[in-house]
Amino acid sequence: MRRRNKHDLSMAGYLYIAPWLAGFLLLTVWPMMQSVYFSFTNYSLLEPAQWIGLRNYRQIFTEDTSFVHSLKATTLFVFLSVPLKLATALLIAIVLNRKLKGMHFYRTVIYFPSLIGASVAVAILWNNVFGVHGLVNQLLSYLHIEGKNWIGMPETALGTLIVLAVWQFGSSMVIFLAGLKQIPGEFYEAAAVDGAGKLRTFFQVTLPLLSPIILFNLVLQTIGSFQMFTQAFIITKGGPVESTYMYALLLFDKAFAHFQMGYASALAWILLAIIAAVTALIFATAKAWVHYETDGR
Amino acid sequence: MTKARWLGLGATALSLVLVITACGANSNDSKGSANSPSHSKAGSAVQLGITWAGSQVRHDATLAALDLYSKSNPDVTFEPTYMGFDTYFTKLATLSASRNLPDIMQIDTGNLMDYALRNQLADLSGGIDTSNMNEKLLSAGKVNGKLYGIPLGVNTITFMYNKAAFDKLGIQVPEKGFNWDEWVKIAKETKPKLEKGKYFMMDLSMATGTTESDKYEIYQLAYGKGFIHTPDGKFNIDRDTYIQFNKLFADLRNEGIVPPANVTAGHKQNDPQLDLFMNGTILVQREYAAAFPNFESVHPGQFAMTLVPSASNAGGFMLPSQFFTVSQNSKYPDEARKFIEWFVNDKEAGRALTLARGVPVSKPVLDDLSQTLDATAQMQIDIIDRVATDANSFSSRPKGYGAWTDEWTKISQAVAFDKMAPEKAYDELKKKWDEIIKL
Repeated sequence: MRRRNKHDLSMAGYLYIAPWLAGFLLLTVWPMMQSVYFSFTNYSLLEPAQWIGLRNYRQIFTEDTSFVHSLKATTLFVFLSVPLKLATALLIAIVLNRKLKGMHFYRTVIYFPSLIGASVAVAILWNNVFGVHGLVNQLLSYLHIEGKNWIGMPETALGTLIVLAVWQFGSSMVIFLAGLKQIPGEFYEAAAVDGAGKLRTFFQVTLPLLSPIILFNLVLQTIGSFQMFTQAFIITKGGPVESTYMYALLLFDKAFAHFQMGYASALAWILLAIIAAVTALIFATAKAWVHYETDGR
Repeated sequence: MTKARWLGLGATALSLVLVITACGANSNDSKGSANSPSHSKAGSAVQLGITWAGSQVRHDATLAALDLYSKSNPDVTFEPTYMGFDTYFTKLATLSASRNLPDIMQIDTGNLMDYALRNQLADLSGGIDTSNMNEKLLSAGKVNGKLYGIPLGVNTITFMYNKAAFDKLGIQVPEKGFNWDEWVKIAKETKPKLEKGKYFMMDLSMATGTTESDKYEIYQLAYGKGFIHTPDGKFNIDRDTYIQFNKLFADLRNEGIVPPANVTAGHKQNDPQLDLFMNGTILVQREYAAAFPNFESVHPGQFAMTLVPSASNAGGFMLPSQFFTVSQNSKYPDEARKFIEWFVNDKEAGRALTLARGVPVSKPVLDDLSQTLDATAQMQIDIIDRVATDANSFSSRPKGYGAWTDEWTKISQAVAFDKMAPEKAYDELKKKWDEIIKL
């Protein structure tokens, strides 16, 4: 009787998650399995796939200069935008954590850029900021410096996208803000009693206690940034001279514009491996700098 | 026990709900396709899926033509999907992969072969009356002797210029256009008269989108070296001409006659703010005649067209503006053909479409339409007439051409930003051609 009961319970559980499970298996797992297979074929989207073994992978690693360029641009983007974005998000979270009148209003306003996300509106805005006749150049002209089209130069185009990414710090900021609120007040009181200054309190109390949140944000943002697509697609189209040719953009071009779905599948699995490796690396270093209250350390 | 029972009950209720909603969604989703067969049993109602790309002007004109057809053929209705060019071909590729291609699709000379050679298109030979069409134009829709694409309009590559500005500067463009030397001379004379931040012409050596190798191709044609590929798809860029072309534009860039590379990189076609020609940054660009209404609608009366420059030869060519093709898997191939035949041959259709799809391919339709057109529209017809006399004869692009022109774009940018020498660029272009173009 008891056994049966247990069985019923787990059955009921599966029934409850059945819609999600079906979606996960059909729309996520199955396509992923398929893409493993396609990565070993010359699938073109329009014709049936033919098995070609490791040729896609060999070509990616030995011949494809766009792969090298896009990997370089993407890595640069991740390593610059993620730390900058997290630092900005943390800084602003700390400011917004104060008890001031109308704070809810400020929080909403400051979160706003993140809502716009990656849209055509942002592309237009960015051209109005960094274009030839943009805001930046107008400011420069007061200093008698002749501006350029910052989005159109191979040396600076990626920089404008990094600024955009940093500007959209909202989601990380909200998580930081929640984390800050979790830090018990007595730590600060104790620090104050011990005569710690503001800076010292920040580095000795706030940062260690916030480190699990930082880890979480770091992992999330790193994974997201490696897959950055829309901003580059809309604003720069990967140019000029492949300077903003994000990995996801290369993948998209191969899959949907060049009829090389098999090749694109191989690219996708390489990206997955890279992201997994970087994430593993972050977790490996985490032991050294993430402080959990429950550790007893 | 009771808990389990409650859970079981809940699950049953939930699955019931799911079944119901799933059914609901299902019947809604399949309305489009499921509808038609059930109707065709009863009467002969047909719903044709149709898709195209272009500007709002073209969307409006095409929708008007579809309405017209449905009025005289009440049993035929349409399910139109239309969008801008930037996403159109990626969308088409995914539809094709999921075997959801609509019955009728607009396809270009740039990728007709991509679809035809991959068995996506129905052979239209003999099914459609093409007797009123120019044979040269029709041949661009043929692949291996079979007719896959019906040309919808005549188009030609032109030099489009800012006539308002030219008039102010006192530049008169002759009937037959200028040759390359004359253009360069005028450009150099005009340069000092332009205000800061304005340039004489587009940097043709630098591509900013897809399939822009024609910016160079017109130069090679003018110097008698033919198109950049042979009709059977072999690489045909002339090394010396290519290098000479890049040197010319490097000079023009240094002299400020064409914009610096970083300004050209910001060019976004048809964007009223960022299109360098539309926003007045440059006075001359290479553009297709069929795109003229887009420019005209933003700045009426400001622009005009002339022939692309000549040298030892004419540089211009005519081509079909687009094709209508029929999907291999269409359920109603006969209805689709009948519609396309009407679309290109019927005078009323012609009046609905005017020139939104290029100059009509059928002579009687064009003659009928000419009486009703205004001056700007006449300019579009006029330019075709002027190009026609010594136009180079065009053949559709080889399979994989679109992918190769993306490489062209990257390489041309590397050259324009002085990161690659033209000699090296030539080698790269050849290498990419051999990799990508496989017939």
